[in-house]
Amino acid sequence: MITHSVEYLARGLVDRQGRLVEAGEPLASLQLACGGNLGGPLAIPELRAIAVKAGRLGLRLSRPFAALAAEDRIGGWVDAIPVQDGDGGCELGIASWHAEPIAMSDEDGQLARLRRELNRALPEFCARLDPRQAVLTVEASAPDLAELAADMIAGIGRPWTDFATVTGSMHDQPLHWRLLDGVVCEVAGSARRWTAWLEPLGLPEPGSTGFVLTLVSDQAAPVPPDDDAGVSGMPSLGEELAPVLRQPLGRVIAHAEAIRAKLAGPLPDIYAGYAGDMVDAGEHLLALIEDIADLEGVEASDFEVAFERIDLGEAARQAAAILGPRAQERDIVLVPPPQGEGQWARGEFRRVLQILINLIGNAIAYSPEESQVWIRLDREGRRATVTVADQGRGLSDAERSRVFDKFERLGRGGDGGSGLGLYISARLARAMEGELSVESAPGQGARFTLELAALD
Amino acid sequence: MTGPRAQTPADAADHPLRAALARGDRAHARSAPALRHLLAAPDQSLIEEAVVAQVRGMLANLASQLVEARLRSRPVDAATQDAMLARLLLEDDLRAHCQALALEWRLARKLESGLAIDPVLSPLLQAWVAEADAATGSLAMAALAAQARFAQAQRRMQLPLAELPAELFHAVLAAAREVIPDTDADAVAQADARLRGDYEEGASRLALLARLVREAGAQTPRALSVEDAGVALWLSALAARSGESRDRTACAAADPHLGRLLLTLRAAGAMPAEAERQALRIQPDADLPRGLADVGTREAAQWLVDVQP
Repeated sequence: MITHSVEYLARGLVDRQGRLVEAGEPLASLQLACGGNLGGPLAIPELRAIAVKAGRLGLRLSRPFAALAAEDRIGGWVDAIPVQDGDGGCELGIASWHAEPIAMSDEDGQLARLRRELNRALPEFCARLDPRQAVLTVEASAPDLAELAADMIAGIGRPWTDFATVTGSMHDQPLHWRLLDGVVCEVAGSARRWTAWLEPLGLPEPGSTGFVLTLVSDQAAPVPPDDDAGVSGMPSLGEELAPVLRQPLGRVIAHAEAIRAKLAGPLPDIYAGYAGDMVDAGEHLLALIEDIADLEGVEASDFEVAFERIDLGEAARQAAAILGPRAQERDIVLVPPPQGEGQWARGEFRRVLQILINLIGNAIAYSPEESQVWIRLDREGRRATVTVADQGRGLSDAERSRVFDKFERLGRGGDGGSGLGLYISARLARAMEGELSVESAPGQGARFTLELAALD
Repeated sequence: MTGPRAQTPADAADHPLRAALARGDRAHARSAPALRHLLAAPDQSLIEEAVVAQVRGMLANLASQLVEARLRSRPVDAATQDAMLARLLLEDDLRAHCQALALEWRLARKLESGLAIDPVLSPLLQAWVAEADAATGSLAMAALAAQARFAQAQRRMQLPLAELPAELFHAVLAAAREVIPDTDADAVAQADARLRGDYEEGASRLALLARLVREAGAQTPRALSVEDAGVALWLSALAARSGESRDRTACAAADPHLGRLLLTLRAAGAMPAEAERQALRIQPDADLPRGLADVGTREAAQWLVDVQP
């Protein structure tokens, strides 16, 4: 037979007259808190009843008890063992002990109920938590809480305090709910100040079946941005998935590359070919993800350009250097502006570089082998320009009008492009208060020109 | 010619046969509604034949344990056992306790066949047994062993004396002193002392379950879900959180009217919808009383207390 061996937290001894003659902590303190003293009558009512009964029946009892101390509600389990000599005394063994702050007064309760009603009636954010304050479900109506809601949904099962910054708190979270009820906190994605209210569920221990968390702000919700892209509020592929996908995709590509190169030993060529397909497909996927991440960045309402004084010549030379190897593969010669030639403009260097890499990359991809791609600088009045010109087949009028559209690939398939590059470049140009344009006619190549405000 | 006849009363109305006749007829008349009730009672009845048999079996088992313990050296005769059983039948609290256990066991069997809930090892108990916390794990193991013994004993319609709560244990020992002839006072006193000395309420199934739901499960809503906790832990948790007695809670779960069960669940802190879901788990085709959503947990607890006699 399996028995549960009990190690007592505290022991006490009650004599025949019901006096607590010996007691360890925390029993002794509770006796004091209940108005008794050591050597005096056992003053903890439920313990006293159990001790008396054990003595009267002459039987070993094992029961739960509850008591109110000055500030705490005490609950626990006690074994009451009648003393062998049978004169009515008994030994108490405290097997477990829980303390929790006392429930509030009736007036406080009224206020709290009113507050709960209000919170329930006007919730901008409401979440159901389990007894450990971990998130179970989330409901948010305020647009600036969408990010918080998405984070919480992605992190269901984690304490809610993982997702909010509780002002002025340095304790390990989550704290006891009474300490968190009514705290001011900040959440990612919202500039407003929030007050968190926790409504405990369950009896007799409040919170024993969980909590309802509501966030209330005394500041009005921001007007939602006029965002036709509709990407806000939804988990974003670019920002959220791209970092997650990059690493495994990188590993797929690297391993497929190793197979293609037969690094691990001889392999039939056909398998090496398959591995090559995997590399290509992987790289395509990766490029697509990067493009989509870029696209979301550009389309986000909070997209901002860090304006600086930049040299378009330097940007053109760097872009050409980066793409030199790819051009060489196709025997294409890149002709950047010569060293020393420059054109100052107002923009953000890395964005300009990104645009030029896109333009030159396209030129390399769509030019015939053994052709040339020129990158030229110019200035017309207050506008500084950089132009990428190729000797490709050129674009018809109809194609020219569509070339900057989203997902436009002008009928070209199988080349690994996402159709987003030019669209993103045009958006970036506009964000820098510039313009991206194209001149072309069939058979005469294409000239893409980025135009920015000139600086002297 | 027979022997001398007894003097018959002058008034025929006082004839003993007529008195016996009247008594018999009254008893018969009383039995009719009882029989009708028994026959008409649906499955969920609190006094279904199987439950009556189970209660009688447990009480008879207790009686024979008492007789054997007190008459160790002497042969145990059937008449003493019958007398002991008859005496135990008078103990209201004991009867109610056995009825609650029988109802608990019947519910456990029903959910085992209907919902595949193991009457001994529930998912929650399993989780607690595997708990890293050594104290919880060992408490849960002890509760599991006790529950396994309970299942075995119920199948045999038995109830070990040691499983009785202290008050009932004390009461049956007192009853035994009345019934069993006290020919060897010393031996009887020794037997009594031994029974009392061996008794340890903390080792009983009900104490272990109560401790487990308070210490391991004070926080978890799983304990209020019968499919997760199993009937035994569920009843203990429900009783502990609602403040109701476990016996009463077990009867509430078997009562086809379900009002008490719903209010007990609510008083224990279950959300109205969850309480109704639990009630339908217990009695799938029940017609639930409406309006639980209007009742707060404190109100529910108050109502439960108000209607108690």
